[in-house]
Amino acid sequence: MSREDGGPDGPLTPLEREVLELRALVRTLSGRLAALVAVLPRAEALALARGADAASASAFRLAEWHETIEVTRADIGAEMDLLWKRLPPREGP
Amino acid sequence: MTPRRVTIVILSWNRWELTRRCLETLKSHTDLTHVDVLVVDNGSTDETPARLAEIPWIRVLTNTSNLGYVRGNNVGIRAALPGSDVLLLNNDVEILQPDWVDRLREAAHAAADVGVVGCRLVLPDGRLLHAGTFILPDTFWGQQIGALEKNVNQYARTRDVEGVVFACAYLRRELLDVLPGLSEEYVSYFEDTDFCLRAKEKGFRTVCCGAVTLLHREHGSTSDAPDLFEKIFTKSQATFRTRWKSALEARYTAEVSWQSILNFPTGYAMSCREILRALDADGVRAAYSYVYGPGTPFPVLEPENTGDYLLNVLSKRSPGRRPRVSVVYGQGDVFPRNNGRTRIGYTMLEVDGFPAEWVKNANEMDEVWVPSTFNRDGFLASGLKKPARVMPLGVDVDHFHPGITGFPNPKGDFVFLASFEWGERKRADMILKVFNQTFRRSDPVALVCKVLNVNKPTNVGRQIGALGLSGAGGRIAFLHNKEFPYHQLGALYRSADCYVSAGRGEGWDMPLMEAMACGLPSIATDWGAHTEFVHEGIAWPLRIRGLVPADARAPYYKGFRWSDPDPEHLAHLFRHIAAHPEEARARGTRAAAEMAARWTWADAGRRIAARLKAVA
Repeated sequence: MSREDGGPDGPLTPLEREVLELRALVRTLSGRLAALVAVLPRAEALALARGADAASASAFRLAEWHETIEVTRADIGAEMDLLWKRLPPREGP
Repeated sequence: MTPRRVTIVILSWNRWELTRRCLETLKSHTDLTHVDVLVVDNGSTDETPARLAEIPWIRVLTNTSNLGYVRGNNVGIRAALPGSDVLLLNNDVEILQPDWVDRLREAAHAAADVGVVGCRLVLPDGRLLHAGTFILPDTFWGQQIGALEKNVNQYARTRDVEGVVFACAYLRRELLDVLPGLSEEYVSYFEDTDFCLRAKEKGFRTVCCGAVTLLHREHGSTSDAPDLFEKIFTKSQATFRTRWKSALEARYTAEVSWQSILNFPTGYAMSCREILRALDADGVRAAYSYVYGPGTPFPVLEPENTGDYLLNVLSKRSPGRRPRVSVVYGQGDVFPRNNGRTRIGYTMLEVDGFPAEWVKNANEMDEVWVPSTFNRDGFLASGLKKPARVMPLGVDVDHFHPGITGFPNPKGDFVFLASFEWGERKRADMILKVFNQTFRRSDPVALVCKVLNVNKPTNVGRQIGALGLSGAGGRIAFLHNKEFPYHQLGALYRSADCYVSAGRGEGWDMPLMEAMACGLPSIATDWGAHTEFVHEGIAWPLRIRGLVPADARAPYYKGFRWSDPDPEHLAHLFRHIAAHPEEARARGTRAAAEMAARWTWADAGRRIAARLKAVA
């Protein structure tokens, strides 16, 4: 017996039921959005994913990213120093 | 209560420059109220005697000839103030902190059975040189713990060790009353370990006080004369071997053949290293052999050098053709390689069951170990018929603790840290998207992702690009395919404010435990092995929406389920933790205390050792 059926913990309150319904709706919409994005050209998919602010919001940029499957041994001090320099500043570009 | 008086004994022999620096740093960093400084000059022929005579705050004893390190120090110990403790200090040591004598004295008097106290020694280039010593009966080659690691304040607590080097050794008077000096069977070398072992025979412990760090220039009196060094060293080693061989061998009260993986950057290998260390400390003579290689799912040969002296020695021990007890620590598909008379399989998995082949292999074992009740239940549900024991893993609280030196964000951002191999299981996509959407670029919050990918078809950069992250959203920086030496990993955690482990399932999660031991508050998926050691008091368990099919590249997951972490709850936790840094810090502090109290490798080793002794 599940809780939704009025199991050992008692019946769901209307608010809890609404939360469950909204979550289900979000999942459905997310699934539809993902399916839509999958068939769109990349630029349009990115714009759609960014939502209504798409025009004003710049895309996230990967700073100094070099795709590789090689693992490089590094010194933590030097690497963190570089990392903090790569972190985008709070103010926009 | 008046503190016990201390006589600091410094042995000098020529090289006035070293002695001068030692005395100058000592004078400027030491309250001499309860301290007597005694310099024993071992027949120097340079300016040393004249210079020493000019210093009013020291006592000087002059030997007419060079008596050597051992006899020279014994002269000083005999001349110490009656009833005082004695602190042996090499003249090539420099003092770096004002409370060093008080800290050593406190450690020495913390318990009645402490006899010898050493400290951390660092080199002039900043690397750690010493945090205690050990010596194995296989080789009789003394080893310094922590030697040549980058100094990030590891080994900061006071802990029991087999020995310490006597470049700085605080000796309690109660010990000196029954053991009045160094053994003069040695001229130099091995006399310090010998003394610590003799102290142990008399019922006194040796500890290394991690709260004290001194600089050691390592200008030994024989460093410029390699022939003389070899002669003295070889003779001392032979003397030591004769005296201690039986005692060191008797330290082992059980033995095990440990078939696993050591020398690759995998979770099994990293934990195997720590298990072997813990077993050795607990009196289990382990002989390691590589369980993978040709004919196994991981057909690569293992490099021989582990980069670690103890592990190299354990790897060279022969377990014999048919060892009494053998543990295979690895995936269940290599259990059949277990060649012991008593066969134990020790494994883990990230989903809610175990593959049929693993279960079949496990049922050929005498017993099966897993680190969590989560895995035990999954194994039993999958058809395991043999006894299943929960044998939790642990964390290294010497390299992972809140006092480790980090490299925090210079702008003062609150930093979340996630560390994962790129893939479906770790939910990297969810973490990045939720973080980016939860915060704005202008927020003083950042996410650091340490990402590993060795899978050629996977283009991580492209996949991150496809997530559609917004430049106006939460800021993210990546450490991509960077491997840090193990001893530096604590500094990574200490460079962040909160750790995030929001994956679908874990067989244990050593990085999470390491972050918690470092005092980081953490967000951790409330499912899988996490439930063994994560709870609301010390972390933020991340709710799951339920279980979903474990759809990933790993063939072992097929047909099983793992969790579906809740992105809405993750967003809530991101916001809450960033807005309540004090609450987060308090939770992290409690996490570190609980890791140190309950989940150390010493704890794990004791449990394993106890079981091995029971089945032997």
